[in-house]
Amino acid sequence: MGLEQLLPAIAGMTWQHLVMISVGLILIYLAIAKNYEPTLLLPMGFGAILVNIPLSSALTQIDPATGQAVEGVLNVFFEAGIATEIFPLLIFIAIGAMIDFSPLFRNPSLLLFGAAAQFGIFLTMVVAALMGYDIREAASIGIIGAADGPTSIVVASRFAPNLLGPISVAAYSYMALVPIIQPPVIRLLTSRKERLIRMTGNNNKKISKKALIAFPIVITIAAGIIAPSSLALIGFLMFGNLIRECGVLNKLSLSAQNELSSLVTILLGITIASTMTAERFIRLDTLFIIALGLFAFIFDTFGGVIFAKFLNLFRKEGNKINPMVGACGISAFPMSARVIHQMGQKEDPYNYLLMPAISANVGGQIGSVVAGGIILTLVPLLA
Amino acid sequence: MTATLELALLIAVLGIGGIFIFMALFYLMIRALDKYLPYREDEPEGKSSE
Repeated sequence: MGLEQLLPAIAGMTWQHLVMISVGLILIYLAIAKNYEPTLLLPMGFGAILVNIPLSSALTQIDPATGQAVEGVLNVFFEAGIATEIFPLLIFIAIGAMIDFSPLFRNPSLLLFGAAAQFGIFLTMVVAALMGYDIREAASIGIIGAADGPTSIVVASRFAPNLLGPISVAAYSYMALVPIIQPPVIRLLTSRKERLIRMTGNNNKKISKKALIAFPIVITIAAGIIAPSSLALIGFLMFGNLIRECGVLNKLSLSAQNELSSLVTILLGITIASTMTAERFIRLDTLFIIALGLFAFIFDTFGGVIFAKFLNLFRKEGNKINPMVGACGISAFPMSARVIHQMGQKEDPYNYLLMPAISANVGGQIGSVVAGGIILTLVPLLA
Repeated sequence: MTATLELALLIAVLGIGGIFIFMALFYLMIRALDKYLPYREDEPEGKSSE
């Protein structure tokens, strides 16, 4: 009996499997050594190794003796958690429990940057359509620009499950790369004078507890009436926030922020890896999707900054918006706000942009979910 | 121009417009909540629960 019969995985190993195992190792390296979204990239990296060893029992295999399928645990997780959207929606409860909406009450007008900085999603969708992707695939690729992993997963799992692996990898990788992607784009679009603009706001304003409790309920009802298809996304986010703000479920709020978030993130990461098989991942499409994801992030930043500059045309001197704050309208929280605050301090150590940047960034968290809901509504309606 | 591209452009225009409408609505709701449920000195401040 030869070695290949003893170790059939070796006989089945191709260069594509080896490439994917290397991709898995790179993701693990980025998670551990560079601290790039480790909670997601590490399980995804390990999962990529798990599913690219031939005959892996983690994936469904055909038993050669009986000819029957033996279900793999990752396929079971995928059908139960991703195809049904349960995992990403549970993550939304956790995210909702983590978000403090009070910065939005202090600077509500900055909420609009949460809309402007979704520009990259739609531009990328158009470019993807131009490149020959069908509208469902193009929308799924565009949503990488939401800078919001769970939203990307929900949209891609519904519209383009075949592209879920590369879309998830791109979404989470670029979220971690916000400090590298945003600053050069912002510097290119703004003058030093603009970057020096100081922003005053109601940063110390106290917010009523009742208003913060009513907010998630009112938003859910409004979103549900206007776009029922968006209700699962927005509703679960707001449900998590209501648990946080109601004041009588502190234990549940902490559980959602910690245990629920951790458990579902582990399952989400390793389950997404089930789509990272060599046959599905080693394609030209993967490179295109990763490039388009970067394009989406760049044009999100562009949208936010240009919108701030546009608003400044109508604002009086002394009341202008620092255009860098516009770039915080993406969902990567609080990373984007921190990057902008640091950029502001680099230009002027006495310029404190953190509070307005946080307000815009919280707006971005809502904006990305709304963008996902709108895409989930419009694509089936018009396609 | 292909039908897919036309559709993508239409969804892009409606999508961007839709997000701005949503956010403008949320902005008005925040203003309304702030107006009708203002902070009073005798109530605890609305802060995070952790």
